[in-house]
Amino acid sequence: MADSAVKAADAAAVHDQLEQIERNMSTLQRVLTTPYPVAQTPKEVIWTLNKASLYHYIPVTPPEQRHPIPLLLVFALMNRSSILDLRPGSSFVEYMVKLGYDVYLLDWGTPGLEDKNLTFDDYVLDYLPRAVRKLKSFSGASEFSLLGWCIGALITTMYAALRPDDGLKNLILLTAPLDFTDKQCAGFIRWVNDQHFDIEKILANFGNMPGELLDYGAKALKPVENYITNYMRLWENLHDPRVVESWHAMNTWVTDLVPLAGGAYRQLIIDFYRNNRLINGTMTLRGERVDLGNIRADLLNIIATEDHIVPPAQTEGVMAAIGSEDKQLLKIPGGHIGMMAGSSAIKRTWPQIDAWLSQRSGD
Amino acid sequence: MVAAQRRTMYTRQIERGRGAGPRLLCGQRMRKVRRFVSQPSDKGNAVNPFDPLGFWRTTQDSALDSWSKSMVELVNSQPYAEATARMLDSYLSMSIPMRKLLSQTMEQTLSQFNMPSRTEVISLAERLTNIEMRLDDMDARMDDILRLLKSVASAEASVAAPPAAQPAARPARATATRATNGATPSGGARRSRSTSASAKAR
Repeated sequence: MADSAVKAADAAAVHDQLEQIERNMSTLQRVLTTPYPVAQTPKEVIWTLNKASLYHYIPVTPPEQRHPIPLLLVFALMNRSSILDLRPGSSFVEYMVKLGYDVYLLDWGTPGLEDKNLTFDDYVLDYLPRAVRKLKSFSGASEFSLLGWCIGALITTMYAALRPDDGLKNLILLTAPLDFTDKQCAGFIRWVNDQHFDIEKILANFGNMPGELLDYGAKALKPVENYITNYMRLWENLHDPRVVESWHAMNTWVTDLVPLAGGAYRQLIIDFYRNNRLINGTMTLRGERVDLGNIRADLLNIIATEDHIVPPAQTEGVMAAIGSEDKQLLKIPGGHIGMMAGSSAIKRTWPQIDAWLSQRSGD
Repeated sequence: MVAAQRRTMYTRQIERGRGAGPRLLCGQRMRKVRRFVSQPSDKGNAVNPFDPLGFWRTTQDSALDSWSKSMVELVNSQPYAEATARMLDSYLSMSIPMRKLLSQTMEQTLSQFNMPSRTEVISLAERLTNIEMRLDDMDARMDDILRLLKSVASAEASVAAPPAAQPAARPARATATRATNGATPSGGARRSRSTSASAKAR
């Protein structure tokens, strides 16, 4: 009697296990083959130019509770800006909108072959100032805050140095690759400084730098984590919908690749990585010298301590060169992306950004 | 009951196997017990000797960690940088002539079919971008003109405001004026209309 009950219980347990395996397999298939609906925060397009778009996020707080100075977010040229609005409950944009910031996002779009000659000159002196003009006319504000991340931080830094009278009040830099003095530090610097790395040959072949090559470069810096541990983490947590959802959203963002305009890539490698022109003071855009001493906006420079793509050494040294009177360097534990989009970002990075910015947003 | 005692109890029951009784071993409860037993007794480094999977997982984690560290060291080394750069270079050297040949053939074929080539489409797209730039310039000028108009309107309103504000400030006197001078109310009404128009423009 007892034996048959045990057998039945074991059979039920095996059945349960098989069902669980089936569920896991279908979850795995869904996650790996379908995109997650990223960037869900309601927004409107208020300006477009070529592939670039300026989004305004619909405010959710009453006007009297809003910060009067709008915030413009500028992400890197490679990868999508949707990382700033990854998924509900885990979106920096949503977080800031709920806190009463008037948030705008400049999305660079996907460059085509017709954009292969676009350079930082165009992004810094054409696209960004035009987007800022539209932001100011749309919001009615004369001052604004800028948040730049990765290459977006490089663009915003140069803009802040070249157009200090445009109304820029606050500048927030996230993992900004600005100082390439240390040629031995981790990251891409060793690879792109090799004599066999022929930038002209790459661009002659592809026109723009393909997203797949950029993605390979970023992943190859931590191959085991990106190609093995990442998938093992998903496999081990297939029963946990929270982990699966987070992984799915991040994977959707990581696999949505964007090429980098050829002219901008050439400049990035030759002028910045190889010749360190920004720090040497020899960087010019359309004949105008980029002098970091001209930056007057209040500055918050955020570094991810475990960043392998933009090592801290490429950001720390720039503080002395920047002319702002109110400047602060903030070191946050985490990686290049995890610092702003991981679970710890909600507890650590975002509140610190808000704490700094709310004091300087005209309240 | 403390966790360690509970774990020992469950372990004994599992060791006894079927003797532990069907209630303990069935379905969800069995999974719960097995999961609990397979956890390390301490969140630190201790390995549960009764859990071969746990032991395997710990070994695997430490192996992955050391593998990851050595791979990071490798990709950050000069020989790796040189090797990848050489590989990319040789791939590009081989593919450039192929691409050139393909694009020439394609261009000829498309022109024979009276269709635009990629180069022509690209040049069209560049011209469109230039037109967009001009449109954006015009948009900027329109914004400037609107701003100027608004400032002119508000200046007009401020010129018109004191006489219009006077009756509101001193209602008794205004009533008296209106009663004595028939022309003033219509003038006042005109001014207030222009004020409201300028307010609308604002």
